[in-house]
Amino acid sequence: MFDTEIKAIGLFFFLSLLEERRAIIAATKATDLFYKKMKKSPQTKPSIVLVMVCKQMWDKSRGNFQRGRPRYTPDSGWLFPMGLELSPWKEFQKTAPEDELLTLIWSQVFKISDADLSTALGITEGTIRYRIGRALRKIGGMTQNPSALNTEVVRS
Amino acid sequence: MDNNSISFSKKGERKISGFVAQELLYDYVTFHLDPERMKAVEEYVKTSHEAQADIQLINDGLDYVERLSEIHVSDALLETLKTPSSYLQVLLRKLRFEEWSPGIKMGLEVMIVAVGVISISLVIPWHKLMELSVSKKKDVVLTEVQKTPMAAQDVEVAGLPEEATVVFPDEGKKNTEAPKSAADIVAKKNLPPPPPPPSAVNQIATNIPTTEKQKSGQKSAVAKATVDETNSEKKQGYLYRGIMKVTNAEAVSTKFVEKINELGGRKAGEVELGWKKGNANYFHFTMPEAKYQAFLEFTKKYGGLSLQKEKHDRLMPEGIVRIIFSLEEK
Repeated sequence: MFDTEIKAIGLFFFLSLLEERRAIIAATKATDLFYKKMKKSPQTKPSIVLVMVCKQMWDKSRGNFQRGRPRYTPDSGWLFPMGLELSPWKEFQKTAPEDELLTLIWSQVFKISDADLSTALGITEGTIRYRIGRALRKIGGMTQNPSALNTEVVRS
Repeated sequence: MDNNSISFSKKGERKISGFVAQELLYDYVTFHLDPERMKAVEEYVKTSHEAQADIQLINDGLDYVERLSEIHVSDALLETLKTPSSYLQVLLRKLRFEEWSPGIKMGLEVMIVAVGVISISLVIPWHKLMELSVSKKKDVVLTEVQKTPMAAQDVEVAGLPEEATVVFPDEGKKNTEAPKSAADIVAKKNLPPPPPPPSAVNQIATNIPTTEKQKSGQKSAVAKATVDETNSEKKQGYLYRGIMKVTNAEAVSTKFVEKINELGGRKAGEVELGWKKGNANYFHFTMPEAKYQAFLEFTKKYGGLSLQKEKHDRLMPEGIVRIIFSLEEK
């Protein structure tokens, strides 16, 4: 039950932290929290609860790590599509403002609607679209020449 | 009021500024604008290279995040995430153990191990274990002595006075004489012989001719049985010990030495009777038990000597007591 949401939680923390160990710890906590919230209010849309718990756990975790230091192994549990170049994302994860980073993941990677995001985060849909627009411009710029981005993966 | 009736310009056109158009590009690309605004932004994009470049970036960005959405979480990881946390894991998470520096972690681990070892060492009943090991030692046979036939052959029954024949290993006599004298007493009084010192046993063993050793080897079972029997009947040894405080200890010590000699007492151990030991005079001697009361009576002249009877491993021959006391200055 809620496998899609749990996978999304796992992927959210991988993309936002790019650190295998911390991502698993944060995702496990978020999963526990997700189950509790869904049990408490089953009528709430899972996507909204997903965004809420991710934001809550992100706020708790963000002070404990420094962005821009990826640490993961290829067999760490996240399966990448063939030919995917992660260096643009690593650069984006390192430099992008927090609100743009998170909103882009929820909206464009998980395809959560602007309305649900607006409900979960308590901000207007216009603000969400504004953030996404700015984030897409940045990540699009970083994909122009990914080989030029000098971001090395630190093998843990 | 109907918004559609409002004219935004003199020509009735709804033009937007370049700033607004730039901010609406994402909505324009994803078709989130109403038709009128779509048309307005479209008109702006046609004339603005900056807007065209931005639209290209947005489209590239959309393509890229579309690829990112293809990243999957493996089933193994999914199970890991779904596994309920144990109390220990929750505790470690709350303590943020993973974020501690390796030095602190190692220090904590060392401390836990040390506490564990100390706790175990405190819990183990060492005194009981020591008692067990001591009792086991008592049962160990260190050597098998074949002295009974030898002693019986060599003993001359009559001749020496009773007190003079008692010799102990710590009296400074030759070891070879000790078993003979002891056996003498035994023969005379029908007592079990006292155990000879190991050195004496070794001496006897080396003096035995090869043929005798062979013979004794044949009789070893019998001899062993005899020794075992003797050990089983072994009595508890005792020692009298005390301290006496007197005035003018030097003079009194001389009197004590004379009296002990008079009563048939003999020094035991390495030092002479009345040996000066710091501020005290040390007496370690043996004497006939029959004279023990007379000795105590004598000490009453100087205030009386209170002796404690203590258990001791050395078994004295019957009728002989061993006394250790020190004479100290008041």
